[in-house]
Amino acid sequence: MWVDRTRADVRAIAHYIGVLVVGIGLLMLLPLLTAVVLGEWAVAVDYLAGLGVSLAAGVLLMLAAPPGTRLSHSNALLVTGLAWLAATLVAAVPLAFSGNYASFLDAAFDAMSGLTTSGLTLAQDLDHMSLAHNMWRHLTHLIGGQGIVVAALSLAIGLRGGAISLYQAEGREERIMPNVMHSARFIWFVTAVWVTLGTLAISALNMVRGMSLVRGSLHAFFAAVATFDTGGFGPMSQNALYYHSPVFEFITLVLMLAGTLNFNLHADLWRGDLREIWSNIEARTLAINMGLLSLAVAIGLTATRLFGSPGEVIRKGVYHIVSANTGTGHQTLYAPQWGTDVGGLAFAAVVLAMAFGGMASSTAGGIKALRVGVIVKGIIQRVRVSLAPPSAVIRTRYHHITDQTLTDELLSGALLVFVLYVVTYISGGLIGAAYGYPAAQAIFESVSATANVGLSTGITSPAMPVGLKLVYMVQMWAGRLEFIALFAVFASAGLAFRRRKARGL
Amino acid sequence: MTLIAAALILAVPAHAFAASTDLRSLSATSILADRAELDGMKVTLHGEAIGELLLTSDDGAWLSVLSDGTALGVHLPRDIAEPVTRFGDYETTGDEVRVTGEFRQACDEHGGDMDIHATSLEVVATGTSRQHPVMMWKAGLAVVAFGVAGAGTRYSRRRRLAVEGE
Repeated sequence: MWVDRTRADVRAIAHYIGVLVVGIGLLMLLPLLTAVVLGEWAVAVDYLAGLGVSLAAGVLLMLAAPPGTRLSHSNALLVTGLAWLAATLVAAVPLAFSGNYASFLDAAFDAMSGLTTSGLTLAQDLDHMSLAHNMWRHLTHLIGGQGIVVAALSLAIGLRGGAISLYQAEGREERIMPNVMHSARFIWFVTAVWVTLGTLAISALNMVRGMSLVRGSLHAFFAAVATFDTGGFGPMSQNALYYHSPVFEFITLVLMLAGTLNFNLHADLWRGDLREIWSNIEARTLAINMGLLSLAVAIGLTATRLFGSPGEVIRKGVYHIVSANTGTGHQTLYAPQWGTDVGGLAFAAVVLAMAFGGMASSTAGGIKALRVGVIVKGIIQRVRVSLAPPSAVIRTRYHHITDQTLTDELLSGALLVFVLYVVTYISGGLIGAAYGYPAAQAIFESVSATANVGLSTGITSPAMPVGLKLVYMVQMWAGRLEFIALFAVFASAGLAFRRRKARGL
Repeated sequence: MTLIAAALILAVPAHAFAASTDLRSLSATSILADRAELDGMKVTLHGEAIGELLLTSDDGAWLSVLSDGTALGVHLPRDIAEPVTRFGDYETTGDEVRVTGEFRQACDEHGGDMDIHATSLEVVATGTSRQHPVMMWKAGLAVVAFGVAGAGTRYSRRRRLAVEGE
C-alpha cells in the first residue's frame, strides 16, 4: 500500500530538513574563521553570505512545524533523502562565490561530491583556490562521511522527535553504542582520533619537506580528512601526486584502510578486542578482495612494461586498488593515463575494486564487502544444497558482530542492493557512452560516481555536458544513500503529483 | 666539404637526435597529451611555479609547474631551483619558469610518477600578487539573509510563547 503524505507529514519533513540546513550553515563558521585568520577577506564575505543564506533557508523551513514534532520512519527516510539535496544546495553557495566554478551547477556538483565523499571535482584553477574554500570542500567530506544526521545528532541540534528514525534512514542500521546519540558521538570520537593522528603525521612530513607551518598543517588536515572519510578531494590539481612522496602515500594508505573499517570494528579495536576483525565476514571478504585485485593489478601493470618495477607496482598498483576499494579516490596518476597507460587488466581490477567498495557502517561507498560476502556464502550454500541428498538440511553460518545464520531474506536483501548498484553502474556508463565518451572510460566514471570513489579518467571536467553532470550527481546521491531513501523521495513526489492531477480532473 | 659534413653527422651518436625535441617550450598539457612520444626525451616546459618547493632526501626538490590548466612535477637539484622565489597560490601568481630536462612518462626512480628531471631552469618573469577585492553585493546579500533568519527566529519564538501561554 502506498501511503499518501498528509499536510502535517510534509510540514514535519520540511521542519527537520530546515534543522539540518541550519546545522550545515553553522559549520560554515569554520571556513569563515579560517578566512579571517588568514586574512582572506573576500572569501570571508563568501562564507558570511553562505552562512546567512543557510540560516535564512533553514529557519524558514523550520517554521513549517513546531520543534519536537514526531517523525515516522517513512518520513525520516524522506528527510534523509531530501536533506542531502538541501545540504548540497546550501553548501554550494560559498563555493559558487569563489570564482573557481563556471556555474552554480558546477559548485553544486562539487558540494554533492564532497558530501557523498565521492571526490570528483569540477573546480577550475584549483591550484590558486583559497585555503578557506579548500577548508570548506574538505569539511563537506567530514560532514558527509560521518553522515549529515550523525553530525546534527552529535551537535545535539534539535532532532529530538526523529533521532532514531533519521539515524537508521541514513544507512546506519547497527547500534554501536546503546543509544543513537552515544553512537553518533562515538563515530565522531573515532574520526577525531584518526584525523588528528593523520594530521600530525602528515604535518611533520610537510614541514620536513619545506612547507610553511600554515600550509603544511592545513594540507595535512585536508589529506587526513579526505582519506579517513574516503573522500578524495585534494587542495592541488595533481591530487596526491603533488607530494611525490612514498611516505605520504603510506600514511594515506593507512588512513584509507582505517576509514573503510566498520565503526563497530573500530569499537572492538578501541576495546582492544582483535578477535572480531579476524573472524568478521566483512573484514575477511575485504582482505581477500583487495589481495586478489592487487595481484591482478600487479600482473596487469607488469605486462605494460611502463610500470613494471616492484616499486611502481606497489606505488601505482596497490595504492590505487586500496584507494578504489575503500572508495577514497586519491590518485597519483593523471586522469588520461587510465585509458591508455595502465593496461586492460589493471584498469578492470580498479573498476571492480571501486564497484565492490568498502565496509558497511563506514565512510566508504560501493556495494560493500558484507553484501559481497553474504552473496558468495549464498552461492556456496546453493551449490552445497544441489550436491546434498534431498533430505539434508544445509545451514550456512557466518560471523558479523554476532554469529548469524544465512537466511533467504538476508540473501535477497544483499542481492537487491547488488543488482541496484550494477544496474546504476551500467546505466551511467551507457549514458556516458551516448554522450560520445569511450565506453570503457564511461563505465569507469559511472562506477566511480555511484560508488562514491572519485577516481576519474578525465570525463568529469567543467566542459562535460550539463546532462552528464546531473546524471553523475544523482548517481553520487543514490550511491551514498544506497538507493532506498532516494527511491522513497521519487515515489512520494510521484504520488503527490498523481494526487494533484487527480484533484484537477 | 660534403665529405666533412657527412663525417660529422656519422660521428654524432644517433640517440642524440632521438632523445631530444627541438626544445621549443611546451605546456604541461601538450606534454601530457604527447607523453608516449616524448617519453625519455629532452623537453622544455614553460609555465607558472605553484605551491612550494618540496624537498627530497637526496638534496633534490620537486617543483610543480602549471601551464594550460595542467600541473607537472619537475625533479631538480635544489641549487637549480634557487632562482624561483614566488610560488602560485591564492594570493600570488608564481614565477614564470622555463625548465629543461628529461621527460619520463613513468619514472622508475620515483615509483612510476610522470615527471621531468630538470637540468636547467630559467625564471622568465617574476610572480605578482593577486588582488581579491571584497564584493559589496555579497556583503549586502549576507545582511539581508541574516535579517530574514533573525525575523524567522523571532516569529518562531513568539509563536511558541503564544502556544505555551494558552
